[in-house]
Amino acid sequence: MHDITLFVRGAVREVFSTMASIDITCNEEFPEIATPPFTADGIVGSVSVTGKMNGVVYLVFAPALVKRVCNSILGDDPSRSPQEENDVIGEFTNMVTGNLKSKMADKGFNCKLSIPTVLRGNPITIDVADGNLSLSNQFIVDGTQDTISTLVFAKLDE
Amino acid sequence: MTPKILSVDDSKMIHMVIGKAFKPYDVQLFYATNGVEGLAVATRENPNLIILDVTMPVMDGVETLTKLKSDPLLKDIPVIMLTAEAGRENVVKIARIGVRDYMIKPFKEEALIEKAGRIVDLQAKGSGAGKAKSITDPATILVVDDKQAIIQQVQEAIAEYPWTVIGTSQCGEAIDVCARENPDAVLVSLTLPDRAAFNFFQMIRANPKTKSIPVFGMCIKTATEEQTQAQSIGFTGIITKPIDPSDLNFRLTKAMNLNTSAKYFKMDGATLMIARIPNAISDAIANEVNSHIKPMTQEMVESGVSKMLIDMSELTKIEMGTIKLMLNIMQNCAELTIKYRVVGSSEFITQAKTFAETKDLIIYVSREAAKEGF
Repeated sequence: MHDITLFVRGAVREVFSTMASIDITCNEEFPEIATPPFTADGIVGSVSVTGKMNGVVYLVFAPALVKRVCNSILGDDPSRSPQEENDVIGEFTNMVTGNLKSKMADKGFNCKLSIPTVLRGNPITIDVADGNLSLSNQFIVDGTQDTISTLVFAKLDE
Repeated sequence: MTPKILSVDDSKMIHMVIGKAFKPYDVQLFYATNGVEGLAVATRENPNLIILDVTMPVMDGVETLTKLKSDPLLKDIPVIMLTAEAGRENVVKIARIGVRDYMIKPFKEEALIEKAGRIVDLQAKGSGAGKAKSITDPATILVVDDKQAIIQQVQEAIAEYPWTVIGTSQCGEAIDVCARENPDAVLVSLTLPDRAAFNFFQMIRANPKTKSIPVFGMCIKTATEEQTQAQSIGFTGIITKPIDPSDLNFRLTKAMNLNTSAKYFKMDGATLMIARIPNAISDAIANEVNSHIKPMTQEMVESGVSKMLIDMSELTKIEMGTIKLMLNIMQNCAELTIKYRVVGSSEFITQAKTFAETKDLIIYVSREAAKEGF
């Protein structure tokens, strides 16, 4: 298993548990190596990484999970605006990528992060122009069918 | 006085998490969504603590922190940095600029409260401990310096206030004084032998009873190594020698979170408020006076005080900053239907005629003249 996969798994679990008190379990049967293009349904947060590691980190949220996370952090609101949801997804993506960045920096891959971007669509196709790593993970919220997937398209300057 | 806490973050989610964390406590929260807004709110509100995000659009946290630390009015405000990047390089970078503490995202609300509680006095809502302390209330200042002349200089600098100075040359004795007297602020020489000031500071911070006392380090301007070290371990600020009395007063009152309105606003009888504008007003003083105008005029209306006398007679030179301050008082009075009159020396009156904003203003030559028929 690639180090990035391990780091992302730890980061996603920590962010969900600490900020939203939601426990998630990694779907071990989900393929670690993603084959681009990747088609996502739902809401996607992304942060670009530049430096010794170049690429993009994506968090793909199922719509039901977005509502659950927002309600847990911001309180119940049936008419929550998409902007508030985007804010939460952007912040989660930033936290996961920041965590990954720190771990990669310890291994000598220093990099900088962009401001998060949030995409909505059904479906969204995510492809990679240049990269030697395409890694994915899927997590399932305990006791539900809600999922969150992560994608890391990256090139390491070794 | 209720502590003011400013959260600077582009995420509404983080603002809400911070709001929720501090909800049980008697604090005043302010929010800004980037560094530019954050600096503006910090200048206006003079918060006791800033919680600052690193990654933000417009102006990021590192640039904001650098600007805060280079502004004489804002540099002493303690900052907790919030960052999603826990890497050593990042932490060292922000520590060098001078943060009091940092938090790695994701974070638990309790962890934030624990860190904030080390810096500001967090009192549960309704406990009544948040009563505003004024500049006219007694306070105790502990000065630790092996030069008696410095202790005396501090005494003279704060002589206009009802504050007591306790002087000592020994840090051991200073620890006892802190435990016994719980002083409102401490000034300690950073050049005492055997790094005594730094050990003393750490002991003060480790004791729950004394951990919130503002501690200033004192040294000469060129002792940069001691200054950097003091800032990095969280001293409230640095007072450079020779001591500038007005700078010392300003920073002590800020650190002790004292309401300074009594310096500028005073009742004359039951229905007249006098606003006194001091001479040679610095930006710091102008900001301080400005911050009192709105609450003071609102309080006047609520208490049935309907007249304000703006006393500019101490001023020997009129400047744009002074005019702005005076116009701000006049505007606030006009908005709340408070009648006002302006008093100034004959020199002031002559100079006022040369400014478009004040050329038609009626200025009285004395308080007595202004009060007549008012």
